[in-house]
Amino acid sequence: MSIDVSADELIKSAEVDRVVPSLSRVMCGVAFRDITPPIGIQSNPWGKSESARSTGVHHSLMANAMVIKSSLGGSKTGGLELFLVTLDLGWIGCYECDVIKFRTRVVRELGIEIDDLLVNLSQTHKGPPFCIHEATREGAELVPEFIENVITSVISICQEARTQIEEVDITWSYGKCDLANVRDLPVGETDFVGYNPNLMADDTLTVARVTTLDGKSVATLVNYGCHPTTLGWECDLISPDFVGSARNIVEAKTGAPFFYLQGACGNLGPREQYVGDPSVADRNGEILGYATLATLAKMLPPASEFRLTELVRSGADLAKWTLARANSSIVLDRQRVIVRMKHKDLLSEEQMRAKWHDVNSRIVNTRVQKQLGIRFNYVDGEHVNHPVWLWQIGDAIIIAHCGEAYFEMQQELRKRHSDRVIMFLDMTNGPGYVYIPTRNAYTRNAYQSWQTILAPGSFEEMIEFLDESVADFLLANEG
Amino acid sequence: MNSKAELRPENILWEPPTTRMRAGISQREINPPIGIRTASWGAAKRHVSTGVHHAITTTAMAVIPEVGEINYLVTVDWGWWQGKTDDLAVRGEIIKALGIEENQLMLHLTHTHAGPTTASDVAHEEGGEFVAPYHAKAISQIVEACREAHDRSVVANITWAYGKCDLAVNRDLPCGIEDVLAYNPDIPADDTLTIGRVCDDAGTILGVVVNYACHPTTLAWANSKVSPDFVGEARVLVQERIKAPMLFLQGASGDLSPRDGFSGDTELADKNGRVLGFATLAVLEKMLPTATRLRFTNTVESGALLGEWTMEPFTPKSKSKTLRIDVEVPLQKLPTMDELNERWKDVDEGARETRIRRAMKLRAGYVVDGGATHPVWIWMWGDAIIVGQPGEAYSQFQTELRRRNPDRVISVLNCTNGPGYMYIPTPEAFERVRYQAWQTLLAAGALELIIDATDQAIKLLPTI
Repeated sequence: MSIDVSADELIKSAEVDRVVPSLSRVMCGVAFRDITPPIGIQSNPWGKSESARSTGVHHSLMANAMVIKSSLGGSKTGGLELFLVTLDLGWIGCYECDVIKFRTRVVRELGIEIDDLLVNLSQTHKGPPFCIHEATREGAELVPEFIENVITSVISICQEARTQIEEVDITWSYGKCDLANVRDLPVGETDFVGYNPNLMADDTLTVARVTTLDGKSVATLVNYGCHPTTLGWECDLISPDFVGSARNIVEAKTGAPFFYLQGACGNLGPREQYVGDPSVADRNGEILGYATLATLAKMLPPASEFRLTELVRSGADLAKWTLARANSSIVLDRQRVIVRMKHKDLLSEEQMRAKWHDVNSRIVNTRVQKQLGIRFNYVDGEHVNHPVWLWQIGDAIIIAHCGEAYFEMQQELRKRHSDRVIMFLDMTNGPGYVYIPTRNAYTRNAYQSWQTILAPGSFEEMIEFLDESVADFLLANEG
Repeated sequence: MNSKAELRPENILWEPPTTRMRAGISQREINPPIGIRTASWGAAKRHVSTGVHHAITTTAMAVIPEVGEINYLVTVDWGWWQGKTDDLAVRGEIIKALGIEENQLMLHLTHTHAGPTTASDVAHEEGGEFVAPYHAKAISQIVEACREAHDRSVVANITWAYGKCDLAVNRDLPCGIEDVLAYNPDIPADDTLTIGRVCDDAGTILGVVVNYACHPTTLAWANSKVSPDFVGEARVLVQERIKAPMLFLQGASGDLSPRDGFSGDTELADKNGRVLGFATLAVLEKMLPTATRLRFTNTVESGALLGEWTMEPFTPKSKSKTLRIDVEVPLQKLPTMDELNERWKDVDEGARETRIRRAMKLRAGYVVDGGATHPVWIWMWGDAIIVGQPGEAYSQFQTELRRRNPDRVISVLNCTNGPGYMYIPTPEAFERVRYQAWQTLLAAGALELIIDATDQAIKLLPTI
């Protein structure tokens, strides 16, 4: 029994006496816009759908923008102005529609560089195409105007976000959410895309709470990996899928915009999916929404840390942790790195047309266009140049790329950099509109392994490369 | 060779763990009068309540198996029993009033540290005059809730699921050679949240059972309001959503508590309650509709090869069994009164008296002829198992039972029935100077014996 030791001595000998959450202090502004398209537009991308024409709206599709600049405290990269945009849309899939017609135009209007903008698509499977080359089905006539409307909306909300800019505190935290399940299901000698009850999914939910210096909510960033495939071919509604009700639940509580950032989801989907009933999407969204609220509820107040301050001799010897003002990190930086990975043998246009000679010519044209669109400015000899954006915002890192990585990538990078919170974003910027499956997925001939143009081993190489890149990036900023 | 459309995975059924039994749930408020003795904290300057934060409640669930007697699972927003006399003064009366055998009731305390005292021997102390009449009223309300739960019972399907909740943290913080009770950020806590959703055949939710391990110690010596602690706000959130009672069962939380605690601020208890409440709602949202399972029905070629699972109704298992085991446990060398006075001679007089009084009451009725047995109640309800025992077991009790029995959903309850109202720590706890190791009468090794005996008993239950 050690009660001869004084309370002061005891508290001084604590193994740990300080807990500091991941924090940032930056300038930030947000804006959002409803980008729901007109009913009737093509919005059912499923190959099995009888008609792609939408007949109604489940929840609105939203565009959110956040501008981030260095805090008034300044930093060595003082002039940076970064934009993070989320869209309730599926995917782009070609360099022309993504880089040339969309992001280049946005950055020109905003007067920023192309690497200052991240656009994350939620990957809903109930929205119109954002790539004009995929506007090929019923309701396609409404797509060009919709795309134009989205582009002008993005420019406009980015500009509006600038006008809202003020100093904010950001608290970053990991939570847990059970919505996602592994969707590689062994059937015979291959893997189907379907719920696999036997494998554990990544349940990591990453949440950032953005508040003004007087504690008012500005935004909630939610990064989670799960394919929004609740609603399948039998649903004719326009919908953000589960993101819709998750947003409603969180925004009703916080009063601030909910930014959904799709994570590494190549092999993750909801257990209940491919259905026609939108209430199932709502239930899936409620899982994410409530998990987000639980994570927010656990956060310490903004710009706070815990310090072990006092020993109390009650029935037992107790020690009190007390809130203290924390010095939030004001680092703000960004970098683009290129991951060089080998690709598989690629078919020429002639070979593709020969392979699909018995398929409808309209569909063949679409497939060929898509395959060539993926390669443009991406394939480089025997390799691809896969761009990845690294943003450091205070204590947190955002790693963003356009592919659909297997979830093990975000798990591994978080494990290797466990001293800070990492948001890992799929479906962001381009090129690189491909799955990035594990080596094992190739041996199972999973859909993702034959859809991608990457050679086996790419996933594993990308982890090693990003691990080093993140370490170097952090080291440079610390220096 | 099969066409792709005919291919099927190895297992084509996924069935959530479910119990089909006759069940009913009822809830009552049992708020004590302002001014009642509280006395949970040695460091408190005042030991009487000045108000009510959230309602103190009791929630009773009556379960009637196809074969056998009715069983009652009852939870009360109280703290803990100091000794067998206090326990039996309440539990004994309930058993008598219901006309049942002892083993038909699990009377569980949610372990709030801001509740009215459960002691029956404090009439002479400040606020003690309210205690006996309050306990009598509470007993009658608990009995009424049990009867109402019985009267309301219908054939119900209880769907069980494990979820996750981040409220609890480890609370053994090394400071030199002693471990003090405080948040230890270096040791991960068990985050398992076990939920049972009780529905009638029409799918109406009759109630929700929530089993989670976390000391309700948000509110401490600076608080003077009676409160269920974080359980209060969690219950408000969940009940508002499901429109039916939430029955909270404290898990094996000997080493677990909220990160934010030892406070006088009731808003902090609400904040902690939101962590649990929202986590519970997330688990509920993931559950399939009542008595529904998934069947792999289709292979769909839609760009990718998709595997389609479809919901279908099923009849859940209703096999049940209840049993009680009494595990022989090793005891420490028990100090005399003089030795206890010497041990705590440097501690403030009030805290010293609290520690000595608690130590002596613990022994009565548990230590017999120098030895002791620890009672454990094990109720099997279809795919689910409820394990209840009176001690404050470390979380290893639940993590180990769940690890060894992955095919069952196991709720593990501390603070249930008695005697044995003491910590059941891991062997490592005895190697350090740690409150839980000197509060308990048990010696190192007791936890493992209780785990092994409970596991063996579970293994002998009917297969499902």
